[in-house]
Amino acid sequence: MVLSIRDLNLTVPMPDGPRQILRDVSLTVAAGETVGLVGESGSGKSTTARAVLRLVPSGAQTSGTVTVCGVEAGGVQEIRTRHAAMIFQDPRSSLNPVRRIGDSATERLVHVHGVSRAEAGRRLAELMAEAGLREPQRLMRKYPHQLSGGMLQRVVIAAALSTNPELLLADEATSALDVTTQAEVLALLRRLRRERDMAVLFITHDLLLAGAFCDRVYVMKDGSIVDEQPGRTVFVNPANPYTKALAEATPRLPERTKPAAGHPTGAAR
Amino acid sequence: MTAVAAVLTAAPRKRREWVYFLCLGILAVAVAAAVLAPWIMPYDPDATSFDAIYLPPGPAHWLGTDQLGRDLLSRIISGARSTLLGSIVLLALATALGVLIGLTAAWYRGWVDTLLARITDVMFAFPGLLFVIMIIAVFDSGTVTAVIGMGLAYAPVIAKFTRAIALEELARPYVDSYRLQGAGGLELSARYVLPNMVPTLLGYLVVLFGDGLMSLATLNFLGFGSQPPSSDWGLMVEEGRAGVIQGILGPALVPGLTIAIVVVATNVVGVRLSDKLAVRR
Amino acid sequence: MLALLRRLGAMVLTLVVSSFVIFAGMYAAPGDPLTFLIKNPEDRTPDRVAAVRAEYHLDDSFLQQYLSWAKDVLHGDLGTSFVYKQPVADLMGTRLPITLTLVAMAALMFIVIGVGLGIVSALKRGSAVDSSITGVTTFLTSIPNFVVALVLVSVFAVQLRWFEVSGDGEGFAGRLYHLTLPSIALAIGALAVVSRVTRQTMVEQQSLEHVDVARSFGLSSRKIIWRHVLRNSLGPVVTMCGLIIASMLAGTVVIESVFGLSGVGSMLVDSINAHDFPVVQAILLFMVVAYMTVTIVVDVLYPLIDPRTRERSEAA
Repeated sequence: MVLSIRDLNLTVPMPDGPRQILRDVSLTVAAGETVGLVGESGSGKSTTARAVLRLVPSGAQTSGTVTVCGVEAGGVQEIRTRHAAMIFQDPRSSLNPVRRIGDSATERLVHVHGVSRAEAGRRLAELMAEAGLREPQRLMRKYPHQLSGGMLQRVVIAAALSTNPELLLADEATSALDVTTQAEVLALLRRLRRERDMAVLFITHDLLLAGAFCDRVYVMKDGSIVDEQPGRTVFVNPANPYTKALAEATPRLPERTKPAAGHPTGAAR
Repeated sequence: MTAVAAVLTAAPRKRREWVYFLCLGILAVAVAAAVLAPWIMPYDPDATSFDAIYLPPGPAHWLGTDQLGRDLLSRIISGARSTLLGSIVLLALATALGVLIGLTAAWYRGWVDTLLARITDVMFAFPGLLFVIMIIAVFDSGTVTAVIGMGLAYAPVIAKFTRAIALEELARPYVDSYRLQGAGGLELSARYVLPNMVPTLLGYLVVLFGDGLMSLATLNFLGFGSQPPSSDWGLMVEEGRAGVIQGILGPALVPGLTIAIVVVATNVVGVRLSDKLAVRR
Repeated sequence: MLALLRRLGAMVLTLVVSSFVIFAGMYAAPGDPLTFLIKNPEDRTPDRVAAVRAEYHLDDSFLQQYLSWAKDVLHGDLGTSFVYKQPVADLMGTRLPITLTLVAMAALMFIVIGVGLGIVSALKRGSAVDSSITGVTTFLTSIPNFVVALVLVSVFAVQLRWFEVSGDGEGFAGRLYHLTLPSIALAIGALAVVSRVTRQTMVEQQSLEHVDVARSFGLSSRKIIWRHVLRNSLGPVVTMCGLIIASMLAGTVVIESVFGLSGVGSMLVDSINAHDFPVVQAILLFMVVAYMTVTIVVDVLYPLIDPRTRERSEAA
């Protein structure tokens, strides 16, 4: 088991008293598995993912265990540097806007792992090419504001993979992208996951997407896990009423389109 | 004047209530002193007495006396009048001019806006104090010249601020509906835009008041504003200079600290006001 | 490049208008220059008067006088002082180094100490250290600089006798010694503003996502602060420091007066009181130019610090 969260509770101090954000959250992700974590805004899904890397708000109280590749919470540094990597929603704000992309993307190799700048640049260029970016060397000299969101996310993914993590945490990684780019990035993630046998925790608010992309899906509501389903069946037969509500809330095309009176459609021709 | 903006934008959120009320009290005392001056002064502020030169604080003279034997407490009280009055007139002038310019620029946009922007740019090219010094050089030193000059110097700052708020306000939908009904710029501004701007402007103006007070005091210190025997606080500090060299701090420090305390008080109150009033936006 | 040229153009225009305003101001000032130029009424013979009027172009029209003054300025001739009968440029030349040294020393102080305090306060946010730094700096901003100057004089010069009360000092070391108290006085007000802006900018930067990202891959706190927070705070902080230096020129007027320094600021005060208009004109013009120079320098530096403000070159 690459990731194992057991009975995770998280309470945050607020001006009007402590608020419990996570309640007895338990989930697992095995090697090669893509697990989805779905919920509305405020359900605690991002917080759970961040808790894996111990990125909790200051003053937060936690209980429960988080184990990544056998390393428990105490070995946070080891988890962050060797075993796990996280991709965030907005690639534009994930990169330092005043530094060149190459500088930011090789930061973990150069400043945490002590790799030489030249070597790190070489490795990053390889990964960027793997991630579908052409002319990586040229892109590395650019600044984030000069690239599109899709390209930036690919750079972020390449940077995340540069430490060969066993666990990838994707926090709404495609939510800020347009649909076409989203599909491309997802295809990329799928391929990379297969090639590296990575475990992926995929956080999203889009149940449809999770169902299509993930092997298993956990559903979160108000800080607790309320349902767990295999990906393919989460829409077909949601037993849990909340999951059902989420599924029904997703806008979908109806089975047949009836043209309204007087309005021509392509089908009518 | 950059200090004002920095104070406003960098204010810490937490503010202890008692500090605010203390500052409010200080300002009230200052205003009261200015208003009630003739009746509460223990001595005639201009009365010299060569027996009583440079006396330290004591039962007869609570704050001591200056180099001409004049009672410092009385001078501070009567000085409150000219200092505060000067600052208020300065602010009123700057506000009237600044708001007018700001609103005009925001309403008409286009070339009017650009022209006014260029003019205010020229004014910003002079550090405010220098601009007033130039006016003094032309029209000679004097309280009136100093106050008017300072008012003119602060007008661009207020104009810029007003323009920014006005632009925001004029972008609201209700303005367009009034415009369509044929409402003129002046009427709209007076009845709708201005009242909505007042809350934001007020806090800013209070802080600007303190800033203006300091600038005016500086001008008076240099001898370009009020002339002796005025007991304007800035002038009092200048007159106390000679004493400092001889080791007698009272005549210089008393008015100096008074200025500092009043300005701190206006800063605290002003920032608190703009915090409170801005919340409703 | 184009934007910079346009900016420069706007600055030149502002400069021309400012010079016009300055000159017009002096021209409109009441009082006949002749009374200063020929002190002794007995010397005011018709020949003498005519000669002086010709020498100072007093008979030309306003526009002619302005244009000849402007032309002279561009050639480095700032006119002749009514009082000292010497070229203003020479007079300024002797006094400028003192003012510039003063501003440089004050700038060094407020930048190092101000930014330092701001960093400490941001790193120890919410602590007693932070509150006390903020409190003290707020108070200091509100004390007029001439009061601060006098307090410094009374404590360090009169009571403790660590420094002289006034005077410029001779030689490099002597100059620095004499300018220490004045530059502290000049720097104190600025200190407060710089420290607050630094703190504010750093706090804002710390809450940005790329800081979280850096923590997520294990970057050490020190490196995060250096590479992400400080580096990103540089822009606003440098701009603020530039603005403060630009406005310090006005501050020198007061400080030089209090400390009896013979710099350009005190010369301005003296020349106004003496109605020595050529000098007043020249100094005001100089200050406007200096102010603009500093703002241009900051504008040029900013894109170097923050690439987002650079010209849009080829998109990827």
